Amino acid sequence: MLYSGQLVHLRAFTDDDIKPSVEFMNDAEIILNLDDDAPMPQSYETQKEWFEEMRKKKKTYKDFFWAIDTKDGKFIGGCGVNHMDRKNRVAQVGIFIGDREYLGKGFGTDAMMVLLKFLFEEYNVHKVKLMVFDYNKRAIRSYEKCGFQTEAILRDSVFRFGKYHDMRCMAILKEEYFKDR
Amino acid sequence: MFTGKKVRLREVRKEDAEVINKLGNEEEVFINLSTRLPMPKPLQVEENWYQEYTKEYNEDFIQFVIETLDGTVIGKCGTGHIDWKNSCVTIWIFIGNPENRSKGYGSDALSLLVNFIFKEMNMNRVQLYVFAFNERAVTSYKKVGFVVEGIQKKELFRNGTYNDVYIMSILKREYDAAKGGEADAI
Repeated sequence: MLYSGQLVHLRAFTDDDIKPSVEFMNDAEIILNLDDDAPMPQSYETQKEWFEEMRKKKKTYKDFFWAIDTKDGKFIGGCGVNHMDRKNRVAQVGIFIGDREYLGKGFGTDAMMVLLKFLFEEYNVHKVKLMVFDYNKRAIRSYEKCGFQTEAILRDSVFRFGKYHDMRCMAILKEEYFKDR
Repeated sequence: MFTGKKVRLREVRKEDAEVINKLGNEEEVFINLSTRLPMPKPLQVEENWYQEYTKEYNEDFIQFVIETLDGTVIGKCGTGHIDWKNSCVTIWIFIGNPENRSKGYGSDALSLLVNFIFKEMNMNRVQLYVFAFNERAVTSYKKVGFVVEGIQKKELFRNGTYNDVYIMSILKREYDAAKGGEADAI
């Protein structure tokens, strides 16, 4: 199925996702791995605003963000495209698993595989790339499993926990994606 | 106004529009500057941009005109994304007109810009993106102290093929160490 993997199903966000999203975004372990801004506390209203922004953007078909459900319908995270460069056919993606119960169990990897399939097989992109904090070793391992390779280590690019950390750029090209298929 | 050995960085003026538009519309400039479609810009776009720029004038968007010491406008440089929290600035620069290239003007202007960012903006990192086929620029950036941190493979579709894009950067501690070395040499 187009939006389904072994463990997860990807779908459009609904307003029912706002409440659980507030909890995800207020979890330090989640947000400190997700965003390079200083983490601000989130409320139902701030999340709702984000959802509305996302829906507006969706109309341009440039950026999109989807909910990740387990196969039995539990909402556990999100993934999508932060920036779509249509002329160069490069998609920059992002993903998070917000429910700690489902971290480190292959759900994120599975969701990323579904997203890659969509981007390469339907959206006709030529390259998918992402940025990950170099201290987030679990995420890096997951991306490697999906076929991403490291392209650059941006030194001192994020200030967090009192000091500067490196940011890692990873990418997978169309020919790499289709090689084993 | 910031004066170096060969060039000066000064404010953008309304009357620069025509010459900047001409310099920016040289093929050598626009194929090397942006990952967007390489198209010459109408003069009106430059003039509209100036209106917006002066209306929205703020510290999150910094631009300088580059002129030689005798006052000839040769290019422009400035900031793209300014990340105050992570202390990182992305920069860009161009020198128009072939006769002004390979004379050290670009390197001198870039040094002034980097100096401004570390000494006045209080930043920790300056980064830039440069296309792999633009070897002269890479050489110039290295001269100023930038190092290649990574290669974004096949990131840019140009002239019928996918090209690599380098990410280069210089950190404050590297900049300070180099400046210290210079002072020792004197």
